[in-house]
Parts: sequence; structure tokens; C-alpha cells
Amino acid sequence: MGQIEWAMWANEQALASGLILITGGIVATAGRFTQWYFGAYSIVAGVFVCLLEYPRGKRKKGSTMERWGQKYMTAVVKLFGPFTRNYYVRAVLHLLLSVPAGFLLATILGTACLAIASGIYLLCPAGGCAWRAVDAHRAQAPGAA
Amino acid sequence: MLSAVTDLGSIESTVSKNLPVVSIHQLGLCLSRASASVLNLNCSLILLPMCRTLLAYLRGSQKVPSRRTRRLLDKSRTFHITCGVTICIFSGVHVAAHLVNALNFSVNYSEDFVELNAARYRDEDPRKLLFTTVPGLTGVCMVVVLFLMITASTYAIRVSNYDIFWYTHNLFFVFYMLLTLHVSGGLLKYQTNLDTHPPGCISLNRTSSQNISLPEYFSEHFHEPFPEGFSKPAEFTQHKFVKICMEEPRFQANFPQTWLWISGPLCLYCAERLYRYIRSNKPVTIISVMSHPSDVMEIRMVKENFKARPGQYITLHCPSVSALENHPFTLTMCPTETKATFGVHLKIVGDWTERFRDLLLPPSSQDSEILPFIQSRNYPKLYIDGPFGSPFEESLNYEVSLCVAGGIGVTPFASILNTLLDDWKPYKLRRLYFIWVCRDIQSFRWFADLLCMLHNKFWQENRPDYVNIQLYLSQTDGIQKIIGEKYHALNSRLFIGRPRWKLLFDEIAKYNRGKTVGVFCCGPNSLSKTLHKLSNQNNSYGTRFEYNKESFS
Repeated sequence: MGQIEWAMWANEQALASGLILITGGIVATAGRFTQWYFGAYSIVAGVFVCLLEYPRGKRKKGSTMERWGQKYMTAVVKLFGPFTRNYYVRAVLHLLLSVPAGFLLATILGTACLAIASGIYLLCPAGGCAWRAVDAHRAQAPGAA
Repeated sequence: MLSAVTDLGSIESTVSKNLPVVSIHQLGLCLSRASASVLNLNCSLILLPMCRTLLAYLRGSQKVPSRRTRRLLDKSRTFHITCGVTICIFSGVHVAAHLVNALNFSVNYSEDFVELNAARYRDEDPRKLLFTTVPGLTGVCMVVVLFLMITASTYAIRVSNYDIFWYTHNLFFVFYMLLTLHVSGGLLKYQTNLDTHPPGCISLNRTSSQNISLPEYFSEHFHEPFPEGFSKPAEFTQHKFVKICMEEPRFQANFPQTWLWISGPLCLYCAERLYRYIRSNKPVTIISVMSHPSDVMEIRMVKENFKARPGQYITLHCPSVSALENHPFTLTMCPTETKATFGVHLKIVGDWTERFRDLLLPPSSQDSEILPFIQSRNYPKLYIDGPFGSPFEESLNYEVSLCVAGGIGVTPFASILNTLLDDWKPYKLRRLYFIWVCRDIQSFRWFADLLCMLHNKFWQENRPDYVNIQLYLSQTDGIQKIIGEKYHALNSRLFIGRPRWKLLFDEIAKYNRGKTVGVFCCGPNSLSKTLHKLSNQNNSYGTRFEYNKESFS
């Protein structure tokens, strides 16, 4: 159990939460319910989270499966240096982003999911986990016998 | 999808009858009910491919004679994943529709039909509706559980951190318990006294909503003249155009259909798990442990009443190594009528196999040659579960089979070869092409003895063309040979470089004209894809290649 890389799961969760936030936000703004501006916020926050979490970080051991076309976002995410490298910063960021969406019924699920992702990011051991860019030049060799 | 459409249709017609009276919004209700039907079906079907003992029984039983039906069982994992994805999508639709419903129930609270409302009073905060009612709360919990399960089930996670997938996937039981509670809230109601209060009937003692007199009402809504014989509107109680309500409507909650859908498969699955638990509770007796080159270890064991067919696999559980983990390994030797010993070959990759090897083999002897160690007093307790079926069992049921193995992927075919060594006559197989591709020359030593014995046996029985062995060494620096005089037969069948599949397929097609050849591959995905593509191509000899696929992770 000790060798589980929680960050990878947290990354998948955060990406999924971003999509849930976008969907909830669309339902809220399209329906023009009361306080629909929370829905608009939710769409923006969802898009931001999706873009941030799209490039998968390099695994500690073994080859990393890259998402399709992730090298473009990798270049952008790398620019922010320690803010995007450190997973604790990401955890706090996701927690803060999820709070405003909790006021509206349509986006409340996005809040819950993003908060869970933030919690899982905190499971990474201190200093041991960091987001490292997958080197675009290294060819991903398919496993062969 | 069909269930959703029919349900949508029936709900629309029921709701529209009551539309003039009840003004609670109908699109959200329709969508949520339709997606609930789809979810009912999928939640019940998704459990069935996971009853692996049942599937293994079906595969081997005489009741499934057709090969086409057995091949359907090969796709059970894909079916499970498809149901999972469908549940994911339609849960999204269901949740979105219910969020809209919650809002509409509170805004359009109907005072006329108090029982039909989900909200307790007008403009009740929909968030309170969500969190304080049984369906709402269980629904939210189910979405959270589903979120955890789905994010941990992606291909990337399964390939890299299988543990996360396995532990979160066991939350499915919580999901089903919540589902059982979710539908028990009694939100959906039907009217019990349709005959005395039909839809669209006029209530005579309506005070606030309709202040018009009866004849005016009739003349507005019914353009036909009153038929003769009726002079007073009060006598219209028996008229077939309009009915007067005799009594107030009474509603009763629908019986939760979901319980009917999921109870069957859930009971079946629980029964299967119980049976597997009881069956695997007795530990096996380890007879011998052998160390092979290239990080492979062989374990031979016995267990009473254990029967397995060649090609099946078991899962090993060793509490001394890890209390919760189970790992699947294909049987390389099956128990026969004369010999009850069965065995597995494990490749040491990852922490579980490393710790397991350290427990069974003292570290000093791990690098030495093949040496059997008999230290039965020191072996840890080992439990097995299975055997479970796999597509490789089918290779004995074709007249001609092509078996391609990549590296450690040779294990399912080893059990087939062992069975043929024992007795080949009861099976339909008359010709076997066995191709084994390895990176390291030492890997061939895992089964070099078996191959030589098989080769000699068929030569003795004057059937030299029964087994055609081809060994390929895909990465090498120079000419290499398997060391040992007795491996002469194998050395003459050893080729350097990768096989040329197109030529091989053409050759097999030419020598087996008009026959159906079963193609089996156990190796990396790229190899599997190449063989699948070649199997589906036509050839000029009329030979048909049927590709049988095993999926890992």
C-alpha cells in the first residue's frame, strides 16, 4: 500500500471535477435560476481546473501514459514553476476554488468532488511528490516481450 | 435505451392527462424517470460478468455447445466496462434532471394535490430538499461513491496503481445499499381511485379556482348541443363526455421497481462470493518451489477436490505477504486423474511477487540454477481461488490452432502442452502451431524440457506434424543456442529476429486449406493487434482464422 501514487488518482479526480463543475454551471446559467452568476463562475473555474490538471505528471517509477495532446499544456503549466509543481499548493487552490460553487444547487456536486480531489492531493508525502513535466522528446516505447 | 424510450412515452401520457390540474414541470420528471430506467437495467446487468465461477462453469458445461456462445463469454470484461460507462453517463442525466425537479417542486408547489409534492411547503430551499430527504441524501452519497469508483477505474490508474482501482471498486457494495434506500422514499405516486376520480373530471365543490357555473362551463368546453332527453345539467353525472368527481383523489407510492431489478443479480453475486470464500478457505500444500532463469519462480502444490481445465487461471492469496491482495496467475500444469499436482509460474515484477519469493526461496539460492527446495515446514500459508475460465481453453476445441506467446505469456499454453503430453486423443485438436517469442535466450529454459518431451512423444507415436514449434529470439547480439545436448530439437527450431507474421499466416493457410484455425495470443498489445488484423484478412486458400482474445487490465 505504501507505494501507491495518490497524486495520479487525485489528478484524475480533479479533471473529472472540473468537468462536473462545467456541466453544473451550464445547467445553472441556462436555466437562469436565482443566483445564476454562481453558475457562470463554476464554468470558468471548471475550465481552469481542467486546463491545469490536463497534463499528467511524470511517475516516480515506470513510464507515464500521456494524455492526448498534453504537451501543449505541459509547456504552459511548467511556466508557473513552484505554484504548479507543488501538490500542496494545488490542494489549497482546489479547496478555495470549490467553495463558491457550493452555494448553488446545480454546482454543489462539483464542490464535493473537487474538495475530495483536494483531500487526496494532501495524501502525498511531504517533499516526496511533485509534478514533473513528462519530457516531450523521450519516445514512449511500447512494452514488448 | 429502449427501456428509457418506452418509459418516457408512458410517463408523458400519464402526466399529460393530469396536466391541466397539476402544473409541476414535466420535462425534468420525464428525463429523470427515463434515465432511472436505464440505470435500473445497467445496475442489474453489470454484476453478471463478475460472477466468474458461474462463467467458468458455463464455459465448460455441455449446455453451451456452440463456440459462438462461448466466445461471447470472452467479452465479459468489456461488457462490464460498457455497463459502467452507461451508468456514469445516465447518472449524470438523472442528477441534472432531478436538480431541475427539486427547483420546480419548490417553486411550483401545488396546494391542490398536497401528497404529490416532494417539497413540504412553497419555495422550500431546494438544497434542504436534497439533503434532508432520504432519496436526496442517498442520491448525493451515491454520486460521491460513483465519482470515487469511476476516477479510480481509468485505464491509466489500472495500469499504474492497480491497488487504488481494486480498493475503491469494492465500494460497489455501499453503492447498492444506498440504491436500495434511494428508491424507498416513495416519491413517485400513482392514483388508486381512478374510477371514482378520473383524470380531467370536474369537482363540484371547487370554490377558489373555478368560479364559473356549470352550464357555462359545459358550453365553453363542449361545442356539441346537448342531446335530447337531457334538460338539466345536473343530470350529466352519467354523461360520457364529462364526469363529476365522486371523491377526492387518493395516491399511493409506487412499488420500487429497482428492488426487482437488482435483487436477482445481487443475490447471485453474493452467492458466488460466498461459494468462492468457502472453497478457498482451505490452504494448499506446497510440494516444491523452483527458481528459473530470468526472474521466474515455479510453485507446485496440491489441494483436495481441485479440478481445472488447461488454460484456466487461479488467484493466489498469501496472508504473510499481504493481507488483502489477490493476484491472478495462469496454471501451467493442471491436475489430472493420475496426478493431483498443479503448478504456476510467476514472473517476479513488483513488490508482492518479490516478497513472496523471499518467503519461499532463501535469498542465497535465488541466482543459482534450477534447484528444487523441499522445506515444507517453512512455507507460508497459501490460499487459492479459482479456477476461472479464459479464452485459451478453446484452443483444444479447434482442429488446427495457432498459439503465439510473448515472454511469460507462454503460461496458458504450457498447461495446454502438459495436457497434450498426458493424452491428446480426447480432444478435437489435430495440429498445433506453437510460436514463442522471447527477448532472452535463458527464458526458453522455463519450458524447454516440456517442449522436448512433447516433441519426442509425437515422433514416437508417428505424428511428427502434430506440434510445430518455432522459437524466436527477438533481441540478440549474435548466434545463441540453448545450452544442453538434449535440446537439439529446439535449437534447430530457434530463429533469430522477430517472426514474419504474414508469411507465417500464408503458410498455415496453405497447409490447412478450407479449415478454421483458432488463433490465440498471450503477449503485448502490439503483437495482439497485428495478429488480430492478419486473422481478419482473406486468403486465397479458403482458410478461416478466428482470433480469440484475452484482455489483461
